[in-house]
Amino acid sequence: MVEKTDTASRLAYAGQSLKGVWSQLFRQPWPLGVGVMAMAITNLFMFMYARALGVFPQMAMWGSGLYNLLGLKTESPFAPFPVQPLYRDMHSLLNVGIILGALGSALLAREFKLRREDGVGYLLGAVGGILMGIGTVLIPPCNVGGFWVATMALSLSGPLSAVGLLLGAYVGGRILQGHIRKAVLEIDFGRAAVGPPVRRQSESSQPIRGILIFLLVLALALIYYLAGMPKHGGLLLFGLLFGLIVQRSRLCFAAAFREILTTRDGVVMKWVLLSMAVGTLGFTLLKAQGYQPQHMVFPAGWHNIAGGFVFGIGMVLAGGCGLGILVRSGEGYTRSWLAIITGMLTAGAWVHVYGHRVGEGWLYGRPVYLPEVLGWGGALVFVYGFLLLFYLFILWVEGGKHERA
Amino acid sequence: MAEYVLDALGEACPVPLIRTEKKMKELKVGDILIVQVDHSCAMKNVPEWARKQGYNVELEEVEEGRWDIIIEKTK
Repeated sequence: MVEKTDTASRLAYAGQSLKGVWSQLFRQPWPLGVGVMAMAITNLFMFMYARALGVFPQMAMWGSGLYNLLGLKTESPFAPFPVQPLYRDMHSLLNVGIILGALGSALLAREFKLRREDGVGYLLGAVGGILMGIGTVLIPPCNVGGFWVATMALSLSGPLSAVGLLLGAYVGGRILQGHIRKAVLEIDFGRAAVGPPVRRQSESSQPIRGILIFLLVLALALIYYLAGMPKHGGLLLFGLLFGLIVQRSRLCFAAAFREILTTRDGVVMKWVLLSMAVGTLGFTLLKAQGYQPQHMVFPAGWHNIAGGFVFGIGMVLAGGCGLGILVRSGEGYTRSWLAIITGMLTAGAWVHVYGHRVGEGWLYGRPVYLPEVLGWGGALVFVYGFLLLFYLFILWVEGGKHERA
Repeated sequence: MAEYVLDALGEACPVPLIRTEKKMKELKVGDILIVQVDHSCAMKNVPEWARKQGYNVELEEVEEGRWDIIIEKTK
């Protein structure tokens, strides 16, 4: 008798705990720190598996592919990403995974909604996408790949692009603030709420659909595995994980840069810097053993800063960087859909406009892999020194807030 | 003890937060502001900001992907 109640209470306890964990994982937003650390670790695992995170070059390939379909022959701007059908390109499948992961995760949390916007919203999305399309071929490649990953991968281009991204995000933020100032004047202050808001208690079908999305992606990955393309399936699943992490934690690399100078609040970037401090060690350990040493090492030069500046404005106007607009498009933001389309069409036309691919010709510097120039110790000192300097810079900017207040 | 509504539907970060900050400045102590948002970042960063200011905050899930953030100006 005693045994039985003991089992029952243990089961009840386990059930209650699991419910709590489910709610924390799939209903409540994750703390930011959990999100960035999950990103850093997943990114390292994916590097061990195949490649590190980067989303824009494959989107540029989609753009070039679309031009080719329309009869305008052009090459994909990024050499490792030649034009090919989406389902045969493992990098594109990473992006598809990110979109579906965000969709599934938003559905699970009952947060999915098709968000339509007014004309200004769509204009911001379109212009933001175009600017990111230009920025991605200049930096290269994007915010997450060109700054976050490249810095951890010991590429000089990473810290250089940060300068441009920071300034660009500030300009983008000022443009938005100017737009808001006008909007604030139009607010009707007399419109009071009529009674308390009605909370919808009815059961939502979204969680079921979210689970179906995850099952669908798992089935797709299995099909790729059975078809003898396991890496394609694997990257699709990694994408799913990234989509889930970013959607749950609301991690936004665009906000990380934007908030520093516009609102003098560097909390997001501080977490991003900490994640980089962890990730750098992982990349260094792997690369020092001869594993893909040149991976995510990009041309270094003034174009990192200029490209970062253009990309920085674009990501703030569009409301998300390359990764951000993929995730938000999965959550149902139509502005992000537009930004993806204008971004890929702009970047996809680069070879047609410039005549060479990214990294070739007069515009780009040579790739600078820090351990080759400074040695392993010097490269680590350089990257950690950069992270520390960036951190101190944020503290200095934040400190100015109290002075003014 | 007035109650105001700020319609920030369809607006992306950081617009809902900036508008909320501006509105809260104009409110008197004891007034309530209901911020309507449908941006999944705003449902996190607007309440976080308001709690940091020491205001009373409640988050209501109105429907899928749509929230009301109820902020009481306490000081």
